[in-house]
Amino acid sequence: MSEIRFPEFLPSLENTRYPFVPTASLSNGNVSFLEGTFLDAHIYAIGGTDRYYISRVEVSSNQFVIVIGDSVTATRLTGTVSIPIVDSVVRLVDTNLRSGGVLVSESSRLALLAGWGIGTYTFERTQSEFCVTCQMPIPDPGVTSFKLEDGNVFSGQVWWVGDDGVVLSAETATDKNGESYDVVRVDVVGDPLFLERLCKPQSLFKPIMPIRKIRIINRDNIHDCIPNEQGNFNLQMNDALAADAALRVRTTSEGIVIEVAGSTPTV
Amino acid sequence: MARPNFFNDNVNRTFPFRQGTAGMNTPDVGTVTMLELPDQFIADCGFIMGPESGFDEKEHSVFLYRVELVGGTVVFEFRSDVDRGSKPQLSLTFTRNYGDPIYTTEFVEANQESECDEPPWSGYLVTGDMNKILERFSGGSTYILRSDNVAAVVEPALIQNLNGNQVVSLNLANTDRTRATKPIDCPSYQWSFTPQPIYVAHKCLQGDLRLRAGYNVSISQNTLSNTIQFSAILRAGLGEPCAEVKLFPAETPPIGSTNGLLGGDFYCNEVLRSINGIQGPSLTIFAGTGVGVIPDFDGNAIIVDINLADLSLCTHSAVSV
Repeated sequence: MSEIRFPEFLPSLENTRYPFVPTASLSNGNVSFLEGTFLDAHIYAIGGTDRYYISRVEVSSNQFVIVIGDSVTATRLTGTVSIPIVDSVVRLVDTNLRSGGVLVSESSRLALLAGWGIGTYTFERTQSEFCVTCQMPIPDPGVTSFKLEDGNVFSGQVWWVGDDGVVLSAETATDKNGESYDVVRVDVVGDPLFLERLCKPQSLFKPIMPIRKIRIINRDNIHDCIPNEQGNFNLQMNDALAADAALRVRTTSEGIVIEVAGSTPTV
Repeated sequence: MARPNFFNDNVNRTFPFRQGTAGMNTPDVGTVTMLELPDQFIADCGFIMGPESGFDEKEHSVFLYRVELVGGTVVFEFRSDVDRGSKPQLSLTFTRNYGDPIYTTEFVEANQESECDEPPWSGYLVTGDMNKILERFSGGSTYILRSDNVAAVVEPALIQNLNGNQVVSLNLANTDRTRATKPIDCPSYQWSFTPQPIYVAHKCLQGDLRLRAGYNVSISQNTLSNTIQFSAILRAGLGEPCAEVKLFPAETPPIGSTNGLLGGDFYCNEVLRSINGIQGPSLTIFAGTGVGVIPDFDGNAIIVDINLADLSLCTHSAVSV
């Protein structure tokens, strides 16, 4: 029987169960992965554990999703293939859309999965477990990302920026063992000139020169009056205690009325 | 180390390059192009793309860019086509000497681009028989250079993409406060520094960090949802500040400030906000009976004239005005 001595890497794997373990049945009793559907795999999920396997395949009219589970969860990674199929490599991502590996195939081989028909096909680990050489553990670096409420995920060199009255700073503190550590401090102090900031476009904002004191000139006497703690200035009649005072200062909804009480001439 | 048979297979096939991107119509002797790269050159390789590499396996690839004879060494340079903007292209260089045995393995890590960075990527290379490699340079040519974007592409399963898999560092900054402006024709506020849109507070915080609630802040943690929540609550945390919090240690009030406020604004009791409790923006003073209210625009004054006009006057009156 003739044999190609040094077959290319991927063709050499065509008629094997690789990248699945040799004991994988590749069938859930309903549908089956043919040998060679996948030619290679490399799986390294962030936060993942081990014993990765295809837990289900969800086929819809315009795409199918290959879901990878591990020994902790049945949904660790997903790989989406659009129909019509043009990709030969299925990119696996976690729930935050971060890379977690690849499945190497060819578009014609992937088309076999689309041929299963619309539906969800579930597999057990014994049916579709990947071999250990395809699973690459990755170090646990601590915080992998910051995820905001809107779903945005930030990693790498992350910037926290204090805005609109929030001030961020870093301090160094020491614990009871004398070890120093970094502290991120958050202060919320507001923005006193927030109205100016909120005026958009900013060109619409017209700076004002506020009245800061009222100068009372009474012949040679000059008094500078400043507002009270609430910024209020009181305009009052004098001799307020005099029973016969005629000057009135009234506050109305339209403004301040200054008048002298008395009778007007009758014609 | 992988089993030697695996390496023996590989020096007779395109692997670790994608089929059709190397070893194509390789001449038996003489110089070659990158597309003709002999299978014997490389037995295996693999790469780990770092958390800041920017690598996306949907768009990018790793490829052998250069094999060059430099003095007594052969240099293998791998690159990736990640667009890194102003940063240099990802490059990883391996070197081999004349006498290196077959299947020599070398691990290389790219240099950190700054103190705070993680290395952009790293990798290993297993080379074949050095004598067969050197034979290809006996014709006078000293290098094999990739001149297209299809040759010598590394198998995708040999790349571990850790792009975005960790927070490398935390950096803090604050945007500028709203600074008071003066009307046209008034001399503008001047600060002893140049106000910037943003001020860097601290760069490259790494390791175990702790969060502290400062003024008017409550920080809570929900372990179940792995969530940290910052809430702005009056008098929470350290309470209300007694003075303004600087955006950066050297921040100062505007030059000539009399109240020491950093933004050039005023305290509440420095600005007339109401008269007799009535606020603006427009406030009307009515001249009632016996009173005249006369504006003096030039003098920025209001003259209140108790002129008793329209009133019945007696020759002698004991009424206080």
